[in-house]
Amino acid sequence: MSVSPEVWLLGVCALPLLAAPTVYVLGPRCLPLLPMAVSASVLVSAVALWFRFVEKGAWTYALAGWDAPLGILWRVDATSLLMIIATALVALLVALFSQEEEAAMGGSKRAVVFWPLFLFLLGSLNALFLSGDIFNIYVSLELVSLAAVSMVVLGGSVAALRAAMRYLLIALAGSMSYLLGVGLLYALFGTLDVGLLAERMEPVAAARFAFVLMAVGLLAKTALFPLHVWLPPAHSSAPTAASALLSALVVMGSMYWLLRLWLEVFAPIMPVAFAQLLGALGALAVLWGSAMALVQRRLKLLVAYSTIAQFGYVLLLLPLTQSMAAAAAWSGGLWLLLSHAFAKSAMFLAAGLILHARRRDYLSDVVGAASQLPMAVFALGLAGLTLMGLPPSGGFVAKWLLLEASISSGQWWWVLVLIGGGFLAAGYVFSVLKPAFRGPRGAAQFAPVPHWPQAVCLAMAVISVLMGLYPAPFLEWLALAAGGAGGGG
Amino acid sequence: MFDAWPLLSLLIWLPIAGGVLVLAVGGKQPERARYLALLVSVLVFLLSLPLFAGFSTETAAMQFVERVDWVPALGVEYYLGVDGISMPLIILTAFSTILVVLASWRVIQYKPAQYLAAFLIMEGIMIGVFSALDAILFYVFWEAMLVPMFLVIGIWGGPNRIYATVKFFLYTFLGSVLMLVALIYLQFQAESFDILEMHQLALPFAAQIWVFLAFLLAFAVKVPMWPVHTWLPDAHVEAPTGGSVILAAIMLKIGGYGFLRFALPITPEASMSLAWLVIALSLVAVVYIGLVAMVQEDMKKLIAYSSIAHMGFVTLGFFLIFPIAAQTGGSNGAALLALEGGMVQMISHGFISAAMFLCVGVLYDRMHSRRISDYGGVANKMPVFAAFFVLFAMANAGLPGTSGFVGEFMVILAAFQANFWYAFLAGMTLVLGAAYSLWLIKRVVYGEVANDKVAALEDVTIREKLILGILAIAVLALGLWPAPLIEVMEPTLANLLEQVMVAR
Repeated sequence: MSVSPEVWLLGVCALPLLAAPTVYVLGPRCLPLLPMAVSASVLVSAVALWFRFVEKGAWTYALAGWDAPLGILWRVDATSLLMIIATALVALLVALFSQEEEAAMGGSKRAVVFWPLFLFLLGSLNALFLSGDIFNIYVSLELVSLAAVSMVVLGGSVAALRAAMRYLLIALAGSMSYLLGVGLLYALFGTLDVGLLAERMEPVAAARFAFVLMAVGLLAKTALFPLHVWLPPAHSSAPTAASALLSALVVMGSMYWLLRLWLEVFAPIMPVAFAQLLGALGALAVLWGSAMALVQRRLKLLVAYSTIAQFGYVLLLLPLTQSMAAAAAWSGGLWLLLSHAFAKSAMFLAAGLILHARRRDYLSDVVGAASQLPMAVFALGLAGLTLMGLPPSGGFVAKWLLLEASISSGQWWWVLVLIGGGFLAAGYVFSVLKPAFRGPRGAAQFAPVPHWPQAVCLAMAVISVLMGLYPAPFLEWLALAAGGAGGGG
Repeated sequence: MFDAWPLLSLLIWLPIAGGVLVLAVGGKQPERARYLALLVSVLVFLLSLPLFAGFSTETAAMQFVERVDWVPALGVEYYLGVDGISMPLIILTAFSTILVVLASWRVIQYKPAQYLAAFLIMEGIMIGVFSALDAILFYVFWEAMLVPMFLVIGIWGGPNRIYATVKFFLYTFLGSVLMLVALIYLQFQAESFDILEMHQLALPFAAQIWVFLAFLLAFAVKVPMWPVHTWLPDAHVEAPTGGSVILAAIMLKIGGYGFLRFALPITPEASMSLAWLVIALSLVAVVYIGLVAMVQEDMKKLIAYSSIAHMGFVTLGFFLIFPIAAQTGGSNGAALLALEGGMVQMISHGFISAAMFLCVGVLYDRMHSRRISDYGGVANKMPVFAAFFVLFAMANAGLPGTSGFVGEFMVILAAFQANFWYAFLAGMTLVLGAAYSLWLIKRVVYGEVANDKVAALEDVTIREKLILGILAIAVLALGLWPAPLIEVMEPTLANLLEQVMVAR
C-alpha cells in the first residue's frame, strides 16, 4: 500500500470537480476522451478505497487537518464506499453509452455542456456520500441539485425548461428546510459532525423538530409521495443519459442521507408513530407511483413513476429499523437503492434508445422493438425483474430482507405493501414488454441503432441481476454498519 | 464411479453453461447450434442416469447431497440432494429436453440458437427446483423458471402469445410471492432455510393453516387445479410445441412436487383438515374439466384440458391419504398406494402429455392448423403417425398396459378405501378420458380424407419416428413394468407418510 488513501479520496471527489471546468474550457477537443478517463479513474479510486477499507476498516479523514466539531470531516465506511462504487460504475457505463451522442443527449452540440455537468455531478455526489457533517451534506446536496437541474435544462424543450424550473424551486425549498434543521441542531448541540451529534443527541422536542425539517427537505429532493410531483416531468424530459443519472443516482443521494441520519442519529429519539407515518408515506408512494406508472402512455414517464414507487419501498426501512430486525431492514433498503441504481439506469437508457430509434416514446411506438432492439428490450425485461423483486436479482434480495424484517418484527402490514408493489411492478413492466414483443417480426420503422449502446444497457441490467446472485459479503458489511444488531436474523 | 462427482451441480449447471455456449457459437450458424444443443441435452440425460443407478432404495434420506454456504449472513445455503420423489422427476426433465431439441430441428427457423438456449437453461433451472433442499434456493430456481418460459412463448408463440405469456406470468407470480412469505415465516420458526429442518417443525394449528394456504395457492396455480387453471389452455395454445411439451411434462409436475416437499410434511395437520377442499377441487378437475375437454375444437386446448384433469388425479392421490387414514386406522397400505399412484401419474403424464403435444406438433407443422374440423382421415395418408397417435390417445384414456393406466388405477383403488363416491367420481375419468381422447382420434385420424390439404400430407420423417418411438417405448415400459419406478420412490413416500400421520 504505497499510495496514501488521501490520493484516492481526491480521486473520487476533487478530480471530477476539477475536471469539469477543464473540460468546459478545452471544449470539443478533449471529448470524449478526457471525461471517459476521469470517470474511469474515479472508479479505480473508489475500488482502491474499498480495498483499503477491507484491509483496515472504516476511517474518518479531516480535510485540510481541521478536526471535528468545526472542520470538514469525511467518513469512509462500508455504506458510503458501496454508494461511491455503484455511482462510479453507473457513471462510467452512462459515459460509455453517451459516446452515442445523438441518442444520449440529442446531438454533439450539447456534449460540450453535458460532459462538464456530468463530471460536476459525479464529484458532488461522491462528496455527498463521503460527508461526515450535516453542513457539508447541505453544501454537497446543493451542488448535486444544481448539476441535476442544469441537466434537465439540457433537454432543451419547453417542457424540459418548465420541469427544470419546478425541480429547482422544490429543490431549493427542500434545501431551506434542511438548512433550518441544521441550524437548529447546531444551536442545540454545538456540533455539525454526524458522529458527535449521535453521541450528544437527547430526546428533546427541538431536536425532533429539527429532524422533521431535515427529513422534509431530503424527502422533497428524493421525490417521496406527496412531494413527488416534480420528478416525472423532470426525469422524463431530460436527455436520456441525464435521465439515467438523475433517476439512478441523484435521488439516491438524498435518500441515502435520510436513511443514515435516521439510523445513526435520530431513530432512538423519534417516536414510533413518526416512523410508522414515514413508512405509511413510503407505502403510499409504492402504490401511487406504481399505479401512475401503470396508466402512463409514454415510456420515459412510466420509468420515472416507477422510481417514485421504488423509493417508497426504501422508506419502509425507517419503521423496520426501530425493531430487532434493524440489520436486515437496513441492508435490504440499501441493497434496494443500489440495485435500483443499475436497473433504473438500464431502463432509462433502453427507453432512450427506443425513443431515439422511433423519435417518439409512446407505448404504441414500442411495438416490434423486441425484434429491432433485442438487447435493449432484454435489458428492460431484466431490469424489470429487479423492480418486481423476482429472483435472482438484486431487487429480490432486498425485498426478501425487507419481508424478513417485517415478519420478524411483527409489522406484517408492510408485507402487504411489498407483495402488492411487486404485482403492480409486474403490471407496468409488462405494459412495456407487451407491445415490445408484439407486432410483425422485423418490420417496423425503427432507425438503426448500433449494438454497443444496447450492450451497455444490457450490462447494467445484468449487474442488477447479478447483485442477487452473490450479495453475501456486501450484505455482511452493510449489516455490520447497521450496528451489528443481530446479523440479519 | 460417480460417487465423488457433484452430479446434481453438473446436472444444473451443465445445461445452463451449454445454453450460453449455444447462444455464443450458434447465433450465426443454426446447424451448429442444433448439434451442440443435442449434444448437451444427451450428455445431461446420460449424467442423470447414475442418479438412478446409484440410488439406494434402502433409505429415505437425501442422496447425492451437496452442501456449501451461499449467503452465510442470512443462513442461505447451496444445498442439493435427491430422494425417491425428486430423482425420477429429474430424469424425466433431462429426457424431455432431448425431445424438445429434436422436435425443434426443422420447425424452428426463427432464431433457433436462442430457442434452444432457452430450453437448455430452463432444463438446468428445473433440475435445480427438484434438487434444491434450501428453501431460498428452491424459490430462486422456481421463479427463475418463469423467465425462459416467458421468452419461449413470447418470442416463438402464436398470434395471441403476449396475452398468454402475461397471464401465465402473473398467475404464477401471484402464487409464488405468498409462498415466499410462508418460507420466510418458516425460516423464523426453524431458524434455518433447510427444508428438512422445516419438516421437523411442530407449528401451531392456526399458523399451519396460513402457511398451507400460501403453499396451496402457489402449487395449485402450477399444477394447475380448478379454478386457477385458466392460464394453462391459453399458454399451451400459444406456445410452440417444445414449450407445450416442457409445460405439460415438467412444469405442472413442479406443483405436485411442491405438495409433497412442502405442504404435506410441513403442515400435516392443516393438510388433514383442509384435505376435503383439495379433494373436492381435484374431483371437480377430473369430472368437470374432463367434460370441458370434450367440447374443445382446438387440439392443443383439448390436450391442455385433459392435462388439468389428469393432474387432478395427482392432487387427489396426495390428499386421499387423510380420509384413507381416517377410515382404516393404523394400516397405511392404501394410503401409500394413493401417494404412489399420484407419483406414477405424474411421471406417466409427463410422457403421455409430451407425446400428445408432439403429435399435435407433427400435424401442425404440416397443416398450420390445430382445428379438429380441418382434419379427418389422416390415417390414410400418415399410417405410421396414426398408429403412434392412437397409442398415445389410448394411454391418455388409461388403457391397461400403458403407463396411463397404472397411476389412475392405483389412485382409484386407494380411493375405494376412503369413500365409494370419491372412487366413483375418480373412475369417471376412465369414461371421460376415453370419450375425449377417442373422439379426437375419430375426428382427426379416421374417416375419409377430409380435404385436399389432408390429401397432401406426408407421413412422419425418421426424426419424428425416433421421437415418437422413444416415447412409445417409455409409455409401454412404464405401463407393463412399473415396478422399478415404484421401488425407488417407495421408501421415501413411506417415510413421508409416517411423517405426516404421526401426530407431533
